[in-house]
Amino acid sequence: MTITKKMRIEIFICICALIAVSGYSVLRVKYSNSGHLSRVIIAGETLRTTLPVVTNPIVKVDTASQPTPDGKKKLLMEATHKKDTSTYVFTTSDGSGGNIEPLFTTTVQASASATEGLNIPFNTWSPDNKYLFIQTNDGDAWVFNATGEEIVTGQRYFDVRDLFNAAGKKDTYKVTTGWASETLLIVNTLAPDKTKGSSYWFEVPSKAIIQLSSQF
Amino acid sequence: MTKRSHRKPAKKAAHTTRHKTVRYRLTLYSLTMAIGALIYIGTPMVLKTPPPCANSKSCTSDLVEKIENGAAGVFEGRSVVVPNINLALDKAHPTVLGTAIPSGDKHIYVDLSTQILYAYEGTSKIFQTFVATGRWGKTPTGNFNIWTKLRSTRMSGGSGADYYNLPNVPFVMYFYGDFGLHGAYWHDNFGYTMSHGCVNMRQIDAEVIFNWSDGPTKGQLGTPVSTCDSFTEPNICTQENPVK
Repeated sequence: MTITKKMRIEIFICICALIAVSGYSVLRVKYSNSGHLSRVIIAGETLRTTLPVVTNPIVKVDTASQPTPDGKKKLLMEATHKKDTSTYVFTTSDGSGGNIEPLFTTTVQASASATEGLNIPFNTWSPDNKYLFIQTNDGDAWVFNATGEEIVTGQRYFDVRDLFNAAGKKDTYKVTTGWASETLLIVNTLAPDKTKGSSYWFEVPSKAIIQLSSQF
Repeated sequence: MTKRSHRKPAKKAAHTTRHKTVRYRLTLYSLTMAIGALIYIGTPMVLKTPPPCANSKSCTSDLVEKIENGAAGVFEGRSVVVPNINLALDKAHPTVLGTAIPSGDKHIYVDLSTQILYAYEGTSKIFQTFVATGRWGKTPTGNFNIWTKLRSTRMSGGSGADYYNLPNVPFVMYFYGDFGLHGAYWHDNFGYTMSHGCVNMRQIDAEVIFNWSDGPTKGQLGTPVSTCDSFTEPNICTQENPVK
């Protein structure tokens, strides 16, 4: 059988159809893998909350405590507010609340408590339970040995913001978020134009400050 | 007579040609349909990509229970103290959430925008805590079920400064390939992204969720886990581009 021009056209059309089917199949697979442009909202009947649970990185109550990530120790804070002053007493204990050891006590003027008041952040403990930091209400972090021993000669704690600002970085200290490892604190900053600045590691033993490529 | 004898072969030839053309077209169209159907059905099988890995080195081979006391750990290129696991010290009767309130279907929601995990049982929220989700790898959004629970396993992946190799990762609940909820002993920065795609929790929180949640049993899927771009209490989970 000789192949006529008409047959050639038919073959060509069939091949085009096959190419179209192939292209469609590839696109179908591609978009099904990426879930392109889909949006799902799960909603059911209104739920009744019987046990409201509030956990906030900044615990602003008169008494507060935060366990270590493994639950073996606790940091406790008791704040006593008088007319002119607020006194903060920090202690540590084992996970069950026994073996209470004093850590630190300080008193601030009531008028300054908005910035100089203290709280326990959610990420207060280092992962190995050797260090902890408490937070001032304006985001500063004071770092302690968990044993209560001096962390710097003659000092029970050191101030991360003071050391950061003294290091002469172009960014300004904003807040310490938590621990990247046993000895590394994560510090967020503000850029000179007041936008979000770089994040830094602050190494507790050496007080070294290391700029990170990503922002936390 | 002569004319008739000449017309018969010509008519027969024309009939044969027409018959061949019809047969050719039938063959061509059939072939086209068959090949098209094969391509349509076969393409997804050939091109379908496997689920991504949260832990590029361990996700294909290490999704099994492992306790490796004394092993060294590395995270972000730094050595990590690995806590030992002694199963004998696990609580014989662990505290299980939700026993004091009417039971219902369990559901875990993870809000990626606020880094908060919520556990619901029926209509009651019974637990809430900060978590750390994907920073170096995205935590997929979608609706999953816990497909296996492991008391401990090893997770590893990344390369260069991003390399990590972590034995004794506690209280692991895989919900999508090797993406899982688990305890993290190597950092304490919850409430911020800090993982390679998994949902990190404090060990004490992971233990609570581990003891409360269900793995798959005969004919029953494990506890549902929804990862949400944003979550509005009590149960509105918004997901852009869910993988499942």
